[in-house]
Amino acid sequence: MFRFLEAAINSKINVGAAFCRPHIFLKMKKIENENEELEVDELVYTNEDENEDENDSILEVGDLVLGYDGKAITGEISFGINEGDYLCIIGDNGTGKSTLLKTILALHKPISGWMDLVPSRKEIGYLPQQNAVQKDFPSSVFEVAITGTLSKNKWWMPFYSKEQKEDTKKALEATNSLDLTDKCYRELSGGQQQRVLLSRALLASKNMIFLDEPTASLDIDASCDFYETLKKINLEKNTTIVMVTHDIENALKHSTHILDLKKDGFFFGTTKEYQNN
Amino acid sequence: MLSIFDILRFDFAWMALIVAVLTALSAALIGVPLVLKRYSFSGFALSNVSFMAMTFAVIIGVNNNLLITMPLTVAAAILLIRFGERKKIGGDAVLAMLSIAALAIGYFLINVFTVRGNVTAAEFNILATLFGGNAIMELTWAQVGISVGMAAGVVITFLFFYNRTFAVTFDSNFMQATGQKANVYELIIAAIVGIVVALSMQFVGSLLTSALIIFPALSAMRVAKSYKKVNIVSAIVAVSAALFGVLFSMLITSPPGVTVIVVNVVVFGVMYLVGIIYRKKLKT
Repeated sequence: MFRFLEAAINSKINVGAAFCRPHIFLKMKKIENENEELEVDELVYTNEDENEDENDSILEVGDLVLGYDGKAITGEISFGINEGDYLCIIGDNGTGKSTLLKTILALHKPISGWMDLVPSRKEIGYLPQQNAVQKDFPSSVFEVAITGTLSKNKWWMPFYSKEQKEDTKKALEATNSLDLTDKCYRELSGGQQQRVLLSRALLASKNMIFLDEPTASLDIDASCDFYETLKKINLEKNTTIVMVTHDIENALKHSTHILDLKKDGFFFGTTKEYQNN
Repeated sequence: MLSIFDILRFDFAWMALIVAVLTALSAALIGVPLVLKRYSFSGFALSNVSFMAMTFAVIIGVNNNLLITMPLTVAAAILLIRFGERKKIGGDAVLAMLSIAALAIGYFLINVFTVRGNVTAAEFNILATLFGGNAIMELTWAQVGISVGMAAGVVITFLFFYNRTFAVTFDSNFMQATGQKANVYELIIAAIVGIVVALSMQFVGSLLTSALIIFPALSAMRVAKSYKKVNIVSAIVAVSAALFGVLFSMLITSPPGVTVIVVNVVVFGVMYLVGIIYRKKLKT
């Protein structure tokens, strides 16, 4: 099923038609009030009756149109990845890379289309772009990283368990930042901060993390270091990675799949196919 | 001149101390996420809304003003903080407009109703409502009970959601993306801010409530480097400033609320210097 989808996209057949199964195909109504609560859950369909286990599909997106205030900023985007894949989303500014990521993460409402994210939201990790608040936030590295485990707490469990604290130390170790544990987060270098946020994302996720331009403000050494850590996590734990990036060189070097968003369409395929193109 | 021990023989002094300390403590705790989220000015706008609500209460002739001011302030807090970010009504122009409009409408209404012979409006002490006055020295045990209950509620809620308010303040997108109810936690923060503003108005007056909320947090941020320490230092600063300020005001017969805030300003100045020296020492 998945290969068929991939082939369909590459040969630029209308994927919507190829995918037209009524029980998972859903055209969203035009959004009338964008201030309503995000209810993307109703978009998520796990189609258990389909026999797709053979290729471990973890995320599929079909005919997704992104936009703000009811105005589309992209055409229809369709792609799908399997467990353990390393997808880089590239493209010029304004082509909707970050918006795509936020839409998949239910932080933003799409104009139309459907998607199928197999793990629950409590099983994914996210490394967002840094916001202004964080740059001057008095908190220790440990306090920041351990918030990644919060999604495992039920509402009546307000405090962290010993196990969560130990998991946090392990996650900091996995990103080579155990020595930063008691440091003040705002006094770290950009590269160190990103490694801490990566630990937090790892703590929140079972086997899938989303990253939004994690190396945008890093120098070359720090960003190479970051990509190596990420590759290690991808290979050792078979963690699926979906990353928005500007850094095409590193994207091609490490990823297994590329989604290239353009003003007038998109390319999706394996990294090899992209390089041959 | 009276000594402190002479004053402490009276019930009113103890009542004032209890209410002052608890109000300052709850204000200081909620002040930390508020300042970090860059909502300090929203707190100020809210206290003006609280003033307007107070004038409503006075004109209607409600005995316990909190019954009117608290729901209205909480509603305004939720509108400003919870929905402000999304609808962009939290911009500084809107906040300034809201503050001034609330002040003007409140003052206007009081004057109109005084002229029309509204008894409670004629007795209304504007200066005391704006700057606190001596209301805290004239409390009844029932009023103390209400304040203690509210403050206890704020502190317990704050402790229960401590880790979550931290996570939401640091990065609400992350919380939401990982399937947690970031909206609910922001709503809780907003509601607590509303309660605290209404509560502290009777102590320091509407114009100065936001000082009670933001100063201890800002002082603590000068010296503390983890979120936990910021909260602890902020609470200590607030409680000791309230204790010292109220006792001092009794000795020199100044309005207690204003005195506490002046103490807070001085503490901030000291912490600021300590912070600078501490950082210089680290570098050498």
